[in-house]
Amino acid sequence: MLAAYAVSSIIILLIMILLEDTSFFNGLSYTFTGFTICVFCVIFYLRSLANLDEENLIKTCRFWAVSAFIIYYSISFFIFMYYKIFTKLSMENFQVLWGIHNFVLFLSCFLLIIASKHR
Amino acid sequence: MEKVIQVIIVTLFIFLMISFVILFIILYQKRHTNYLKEKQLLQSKFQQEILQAQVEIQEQTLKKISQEIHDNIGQVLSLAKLNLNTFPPTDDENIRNKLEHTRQLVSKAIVDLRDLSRSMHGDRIAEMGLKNAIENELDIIKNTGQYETTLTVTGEYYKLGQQKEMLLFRILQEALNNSIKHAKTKNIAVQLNYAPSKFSLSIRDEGPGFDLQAAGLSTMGLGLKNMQNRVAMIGGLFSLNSSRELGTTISIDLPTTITG
Repeated sequence: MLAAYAVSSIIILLIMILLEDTSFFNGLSYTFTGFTICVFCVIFYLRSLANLDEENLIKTCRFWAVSAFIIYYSISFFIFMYYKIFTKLSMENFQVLWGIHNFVLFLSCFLLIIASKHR
Repeated sequence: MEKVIQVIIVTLFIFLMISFVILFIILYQKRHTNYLKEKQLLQSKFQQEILQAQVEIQEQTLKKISQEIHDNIGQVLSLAKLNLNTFPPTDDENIRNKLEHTRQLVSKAIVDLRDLSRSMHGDRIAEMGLKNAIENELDIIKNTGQYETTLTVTGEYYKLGQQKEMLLFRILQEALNNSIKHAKTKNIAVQLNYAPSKFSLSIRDEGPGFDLQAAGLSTMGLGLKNMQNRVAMIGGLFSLNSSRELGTTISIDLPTTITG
């Protein structure tokens, strides 16, 4: 798992250095980061289902934190991906995208508050 | 219009993700509950098996001791009594009295050891039946001259099955042992109630008792814990009542299926 974290971090760094347009919002690296986090979250869910423990996962901080991340990054993934295209089309699209992003951010923050209530 | 469609698609996706999390919670809770149930079942099964093994080992040990008492020590004492009987008659009254006293002591030792051997031997308990085995056990205690024992039997007698009767008898022995050790009283009462759907056994002493709430269940001795586990093993209900005024009563209730 640690190797997977390291590899994905290196790929993100390489994308940022080699492929990113520095004069604009770095959507590509954000997209890949979002995708990687979503994959790790799904792995976490599958592992939790496969390796059950006496401790109830729903009552743990990490479940709610992971849920916050998956909701935020799975939706933001599309926003980051099409950000450049949409904003190039019109400024109105930019506002809509920003509004959706803020709503999702609020949702994930709410989940993070729940996470902080659990230990 | 295009913008509305975009918003609808994004909203649907948000709902999809939230549904995914909710679905996971439901699935996880279901699996977790099943997992806990299975684990509990396995644990209780494991405990039952350990208890069963413990009981079997104890029975084997007691059987061996009982056989040794009966076949070895009992025989030696019988031989000693025989030798005493073959002593030539003497005019010395002092020696005669001593011989008679020794003969009586040896006879008592033979009887006591025979009773002890009986109460230890599991097969003999099964042969005698629970009621007679308890009667025999109470007689042993009564014969020491230090205790008064009473046995009350109500209802129509029926057999509970060899294993259950043996376990109940061992529990009774442990309870009687506790009464002798801790209760500074002469009176010990045992009650058997053969109701059609339920068998009850209670052992009561009029000793000083103890404050159950002050002592707490955590301070329950190993003997009491063992009794509780054994009763649970045969599907019974164990209860302990003790107070400074009324003494201590141990009750066992066992739902029955009459085995004839």
